[in-house]
Amino acid sequence: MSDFETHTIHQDGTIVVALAGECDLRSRDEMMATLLAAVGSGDPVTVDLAGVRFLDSSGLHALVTAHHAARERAGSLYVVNATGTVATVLRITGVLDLLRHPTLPAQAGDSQQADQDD
Amino acid sequence: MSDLTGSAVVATTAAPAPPSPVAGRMSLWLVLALVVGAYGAGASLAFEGFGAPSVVALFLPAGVTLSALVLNPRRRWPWILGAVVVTEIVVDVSYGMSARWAPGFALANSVEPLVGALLLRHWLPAEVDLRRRRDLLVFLGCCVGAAPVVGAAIGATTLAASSAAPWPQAFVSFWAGDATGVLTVAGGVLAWRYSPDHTSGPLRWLVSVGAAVAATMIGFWPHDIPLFYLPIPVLFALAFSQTLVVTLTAGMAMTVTANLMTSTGHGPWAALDTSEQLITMTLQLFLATTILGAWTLAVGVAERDRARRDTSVERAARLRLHALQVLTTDLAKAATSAEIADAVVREGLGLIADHGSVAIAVPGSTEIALWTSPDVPAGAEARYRRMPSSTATPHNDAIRTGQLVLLETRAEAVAAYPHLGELYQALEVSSTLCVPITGDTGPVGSLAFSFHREHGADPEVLAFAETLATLTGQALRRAQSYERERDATRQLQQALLPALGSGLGGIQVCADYRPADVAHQVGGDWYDVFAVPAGRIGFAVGDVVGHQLAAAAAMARLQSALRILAQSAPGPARVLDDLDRASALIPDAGTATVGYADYDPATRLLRYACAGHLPPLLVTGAGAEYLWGGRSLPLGVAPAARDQAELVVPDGAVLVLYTDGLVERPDEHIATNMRRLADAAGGLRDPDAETLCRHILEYMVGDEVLGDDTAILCVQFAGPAPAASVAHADGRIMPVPSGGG
Repeated sequence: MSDFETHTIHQDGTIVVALAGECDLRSRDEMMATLLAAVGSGDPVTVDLAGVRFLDSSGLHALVTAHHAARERAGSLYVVNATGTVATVLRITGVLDLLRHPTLPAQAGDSQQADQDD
Repeated sequence: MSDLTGSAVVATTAAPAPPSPVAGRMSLWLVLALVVGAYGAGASLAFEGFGAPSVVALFLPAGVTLSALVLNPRRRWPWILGAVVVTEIVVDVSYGMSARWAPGFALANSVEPLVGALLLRHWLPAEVDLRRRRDLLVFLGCCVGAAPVVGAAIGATTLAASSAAPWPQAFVSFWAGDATGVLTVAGGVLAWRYSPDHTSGPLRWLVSVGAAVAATMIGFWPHDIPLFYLPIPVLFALAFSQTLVVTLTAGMAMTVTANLMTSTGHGPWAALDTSEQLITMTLQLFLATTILGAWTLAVGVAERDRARRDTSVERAARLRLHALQVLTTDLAKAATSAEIADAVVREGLGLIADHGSVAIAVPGSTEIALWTSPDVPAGAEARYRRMPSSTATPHNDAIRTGQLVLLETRAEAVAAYPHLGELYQALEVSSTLCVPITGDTGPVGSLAFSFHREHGADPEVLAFAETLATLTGQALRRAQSYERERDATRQLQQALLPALGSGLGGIQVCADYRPADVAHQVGGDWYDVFAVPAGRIGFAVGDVVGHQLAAAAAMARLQSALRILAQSAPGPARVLDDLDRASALIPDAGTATVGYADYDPATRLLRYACAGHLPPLLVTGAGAEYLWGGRSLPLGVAPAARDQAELVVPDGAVLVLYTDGLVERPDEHIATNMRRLADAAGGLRDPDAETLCRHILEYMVGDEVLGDDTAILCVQFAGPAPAASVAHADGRIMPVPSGGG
């Protein structure tokens, strides 16, 4: 319930939205509102997922929806610092490729091989 | 229903009546008898004990008449005064007084209390609480001070005329005797009549009065040793520790004793060598001062107690407010009627009552569900049960009438609900309050509060109980609309899931669907199995993101779209590609993930593609492996080429399609759970579809309450089937064109 937090920082013409906790159905509306507000400013948005422990299809939907909203305004929304299960979920669904910052190198262990060794 | 509850049901607006209407409940004859008896006794005592009228002494009847007037309505005053006049004359004449002068004393003794009562009622029209500073001052000023001045003026004139006594001395002693009589008798009677606490037991009275009498007798025994002050500490101690009534009764006993002792020649006043009037006056002054001192002390003590009580009442109110805030938060979290009832039982009822229960009418039935507070002794009642709503119980009557049910005493409760007598006895319930919970269309339940004491529901408790019922009603309305929607979603979902088991040759299918726990919102998971052209069989698993009915509706549309598109598309990648475009036209279908596969029983060729969906798991005799081919983005994310992959599956292999609820947990890595899934599936030796499906659910979910819906579909590929057996078993399965396979 309260296990979800957002912090929005404006710096040098970009916006960093730091998410923390669990991005699921319960936090979806708050997450969506925060991301859409950031995107609405027109500045490039970076979503820092370092503090996110869990991301399900609801969280994924919020990221994709905000990404689409940014594109419509000729802006951008990328995610950084996805780790652990969050990174895996983004990778399995294919959304990580879409949302990864194009100029940043792929993160270590960013391969599907880790998950398909059975 | 039943008629025995009629008297127990009271309107919400009825407040407890104030205790003021005095002695009006006593019949007039009883009042007159009491007045005549007490007045006659007091007047006789004045003649026999204190030597009236030669020395006008302590005159207790002055207080009797005043009390009778103050405690009775004005229409009775003429009767009371008439009785006093007759009694006074009879007593006077019987003690040898000339009938000529007796009417004068009768006039004095009727005008005086009349003046006193009128003045008192003028300043204090309602209740007289002699523990209040202002009321005490008015009583002293009007009844003890002013009124006896009038009586003494008439009495002294009569006395002067009858016995040639000097008027001023007669006036002073008459005034002192009457004032002391009013102070002691009327003070005691009024304090007793208006005092809210009648808790002093008879023993306490006896000991208190006995102590005062004993101290007075000792103090007023010797002539030569000054011990007359002994009653003072006794009376002051009583003022500190006892009620005002007890203190004033002891004061009256002290006054009578001191006057009797003095008139029988004991004590320092009897030994004084001065005029009898001066003796009488100074004695009454001493006694009045002592009583007033004790009285003032009692008022101070009462004020202190009141302040202390106010503070504790305030603290209790603050605690309740805090508890109410905690409860409100918990009610906001509660998603179902059961959770709401639990929260109220756990945190609400105990704040004001000793026991309690929550009843909620079960929608669409004639029963109520009942939750009982945890402090009910174990075994006495099950904590939760259902009861028919036709039984006569306070809950059912509150729900039926929409009005609160108030049972102030055990006797009243048992009379209204005889069959609950044993329960009341077992739980030591002496009073009960039942408040209806109002929903959209009337009462939907009720809260019961039971108390070990009688009259447990004071106005504060009533107000709190109604607040609690309002809060519960709001939470219930919200939860019930949520429950209605959830039930509709579930029904829709169940209706859309295909019937499995027969009709499609070459495969065996087993599927299961585990809805999320009720506190979570329902998504839109689905699975599907259907025939496609050329003898193939299509399998799909999908997950639509979102809320409740909207997600279920989007899921239904995507499912039909996929079935139709699969009939004409050449392969799974094209099916998902077409579905991606179609999903743009379906509200709430964005970011849905879908896994689709088709299988040709003739060639054992399995083709599959996943739009953002978790990879299918293929279980063969060699173990379990995820099929990582054919991956693409979820629906509605971005236009992109879609891949498909294919493989020839061995005989007996099982394909497991599932949704994320099976492997995603907030505190566990999805990769770990996917490995667990593969280990569980691969560990079985030659499982069939049904065994595998059950095993996986048992291993991955067990009894766990899920935070997300979970669908699982297991398809076993078993030998090539003759084309003729690929037929439609029920309306849901699409017909297969002949000639395929």
